[in-house]
Amino acid sequence: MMAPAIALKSVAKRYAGGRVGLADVDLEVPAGRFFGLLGPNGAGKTTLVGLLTTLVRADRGSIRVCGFDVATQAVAAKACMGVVPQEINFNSFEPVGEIVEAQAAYYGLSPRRARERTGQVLEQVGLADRRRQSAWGLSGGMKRRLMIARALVHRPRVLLLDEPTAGVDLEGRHTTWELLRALNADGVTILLTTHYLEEAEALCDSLAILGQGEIVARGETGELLHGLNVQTLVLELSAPLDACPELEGLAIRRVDRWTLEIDLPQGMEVNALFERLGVYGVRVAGLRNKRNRLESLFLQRIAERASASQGAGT
Amino acid sequence: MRLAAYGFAYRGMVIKQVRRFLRAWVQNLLPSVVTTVLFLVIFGHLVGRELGTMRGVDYADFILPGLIILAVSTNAYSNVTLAFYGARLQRHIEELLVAPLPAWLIVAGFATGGVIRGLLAGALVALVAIPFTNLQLHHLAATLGIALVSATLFALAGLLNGLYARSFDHTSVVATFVLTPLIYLGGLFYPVERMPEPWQSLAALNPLYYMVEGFRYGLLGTGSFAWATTFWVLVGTTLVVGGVAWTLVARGVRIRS
Repeated sequence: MMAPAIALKSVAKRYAGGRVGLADVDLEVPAGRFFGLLGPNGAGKTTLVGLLTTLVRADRGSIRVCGFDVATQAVAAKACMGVVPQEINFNSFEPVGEIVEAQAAYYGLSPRRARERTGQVLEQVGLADRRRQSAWGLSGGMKRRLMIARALVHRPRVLLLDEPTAGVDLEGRHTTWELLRALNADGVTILLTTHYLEEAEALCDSLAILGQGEIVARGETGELLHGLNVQTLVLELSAPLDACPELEGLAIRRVDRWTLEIDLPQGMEVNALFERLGVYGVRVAGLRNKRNRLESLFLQRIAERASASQGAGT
Repeated sequence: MRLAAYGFAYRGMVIKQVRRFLRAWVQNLLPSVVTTVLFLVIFGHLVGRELGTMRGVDYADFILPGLIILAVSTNAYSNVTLAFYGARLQRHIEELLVAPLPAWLIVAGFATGGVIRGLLAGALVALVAIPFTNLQLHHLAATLGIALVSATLFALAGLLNGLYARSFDHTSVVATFVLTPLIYLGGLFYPVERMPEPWQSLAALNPLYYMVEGFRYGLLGTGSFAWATTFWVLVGTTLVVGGVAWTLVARGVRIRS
């Protein structure tokens, strides 16, 4: 059986001052997956990426990447990883090409191969024409793409991306999405942390949600979304409504005369909802989710985690 | 195979370090040259005429070895201090830490950058001294050996400074307030045997005195003790400092959370 691309077992990290980075986390990402890691600020996402890359040292537990233990087989484990950190971490005074070529050298590519691969990855991320330009002059989005190019230069089997599209404009974000989809289709395992929930929903085939250093939800993206207790629908009406209809078992709010918000419980079909509204003479012209479905799941699980912590504390 | 990969990585690190100091060569290389010319003109010729000869050579010739070794050591030291501290500050040290590189290779890459700058600065100082002195080369092995090991020692010491520095102020404190005074008081401008006590005894405790004297022997053939002793003491010290640097980088002190 193939070893998982990423495997964490009982991994814990507490920073100086007592802040919990991760608390006994178990996680497996099979090879070839596009895995999303979600969570509010301070939940432990960057700590987890740091532990995988050895920038953060675990207090206990075992961490394996491509089957190699990052503590005892660090060189082999790191050789199969590419890392796109959250913060810009290249020397901005250096030319774009030199930054990527140097990274290729650090991964053991010969000078000729490093030059070739630098050209290829800069082409891949749309920065080929900037090769000789100082990185100082790049826009924020271009700097992010440069970090992706740098992470890809040695053809990693596992790519770790810590909020790679933060601050990137819409077009740049979609270009990055296409690139990541293509890499994943080529067999690269991707672990993505992101604040953009629509990004995770669009890209990731499986997810974990972190809260206060613990995993509060995990699974296939589709299954997790299917497990949503409630989704809030926004209905645009064909005719104005003077009073809010009351339907048993449904929470309905009138936003204005033309708009209703309805919390649709799990298991209830939209067709059934329309039938019941039709009885009251309500006609629907348009329909949309109030929140991205993943956002609903995220908020639900984080709220559950917070109330569980409060319960444990009292 | 891994050895070849390490070779490419080492080459990449060294090229990066050399490009770094050459990008600002006016700031990084010229000050040593200008200072040396000033010393040679003022002390070597204007004041030196009054002083006569020292150990049988003109005063300008006497101070030149100390000026060269001063340029070698301070350039090697400050290059690595600033490069390492800058890499920590801007976080591009992470480029090396996430790559499949052992700690000794990271230390070697930074140190080599410092050694190259130190030797380059020393060579430039020697070059500009030609019109002002009778530049000699008495013992090639002693000259090159002591220059190389001094540059390595100071480059590694600079790495320790870069590792522990918390601000840019900290990157210059040791060079300005410790190394330069120790070299000036280590017989750069005068033979220690002519100094009164307690300065003569204190000079014997100054490790940089041995470095200056050893290098002076290499160029002029005059020194207070055997250059080989100086050389091996420097080699031993370099191994100790290098071992400390390697251990700290391997443990991730100040560079990993």
